[in-house]
Amino acid sequence: MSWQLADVILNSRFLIGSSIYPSPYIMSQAIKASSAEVVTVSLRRQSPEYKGGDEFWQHIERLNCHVLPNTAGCYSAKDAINTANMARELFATNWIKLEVLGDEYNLQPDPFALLEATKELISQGFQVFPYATDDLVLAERLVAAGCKIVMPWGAPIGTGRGLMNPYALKTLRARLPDTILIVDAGIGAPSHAASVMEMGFDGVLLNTAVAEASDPSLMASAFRDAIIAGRAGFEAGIMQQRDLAKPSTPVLGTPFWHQTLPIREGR
Amino acid sequence: MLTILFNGEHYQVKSAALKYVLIELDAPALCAVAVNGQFVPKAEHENVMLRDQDTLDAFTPMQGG
Repeated sequence: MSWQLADVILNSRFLIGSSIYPSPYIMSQAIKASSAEVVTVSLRRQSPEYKGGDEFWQHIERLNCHVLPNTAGCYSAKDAINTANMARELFATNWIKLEVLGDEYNLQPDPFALLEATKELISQGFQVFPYATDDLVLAERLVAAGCKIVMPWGAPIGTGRGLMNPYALKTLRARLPDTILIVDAGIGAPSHAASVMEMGFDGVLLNTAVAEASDPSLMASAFRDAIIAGRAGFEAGIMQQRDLAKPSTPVLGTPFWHQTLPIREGR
Repeated sequence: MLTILFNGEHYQVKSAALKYVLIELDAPALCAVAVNGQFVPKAEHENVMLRDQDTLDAFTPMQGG
């Protein structure tokens, strides 16, 4: 079923990264297998050996996906704002995945700088996709600043640890029912992505789990199917858990209904 | 002649206007430019004049997560 992300209508709820694949060809094949319609990209200072990023960019253009540039590697609001402006010109989009990191060890977003940069970029006409922690108050502040989309982490970037704090994610979903919420980072297995979608999140953004798989295309298709299944489960309405067992087969009229249950000693 | 630090290496250029410096340095067509660390939109390339020892960086697309 289609859904709206910012100003576009999408069929897939899978957003995928373009980094750390063994080759641009394998990247292209994996992205095709994912059925993702949004691909994250970045920008770096030109180097002679990289030939200005031509080959990579040609592969991305052929995929005909929406491009979501990031501000990866920025540790201050000023650098992130500067990078976002360069990305807007380079990729001809006002979308920006805003990353402002605060800690080198776990690459945790700096909530204060993130909010500062978000406010400035929204005033400049950007559609900001803020990469955030799962902190509720931060998410609320980002929404109050004008964000239509918030992207909390499942776990630190590249760890593949899955959902470190399901309670916090469920709380975000419950408290921000009208905000597009996409879990970004930390997803390691298709089951993690399915869990996110079963919680009612709008999408999943990941990179490493696909790019570092032995077979990236197969893993991309596994995530694609997990995201579809998780979303379908959410929309269908997942049953409430119970403490007591309840027979799924009706007991009335069974051949031996009149028999009494054996009583075990010690009961 | 101006000496410019372009993408981390020193070059001597005849022009001062950013637009023509980029042509002299064979900068890629698809790039965003920063002078002394500050982004300069393409529409301003013709008006921005570089000074000796300025830093010029060209940013191109690359993989991102």
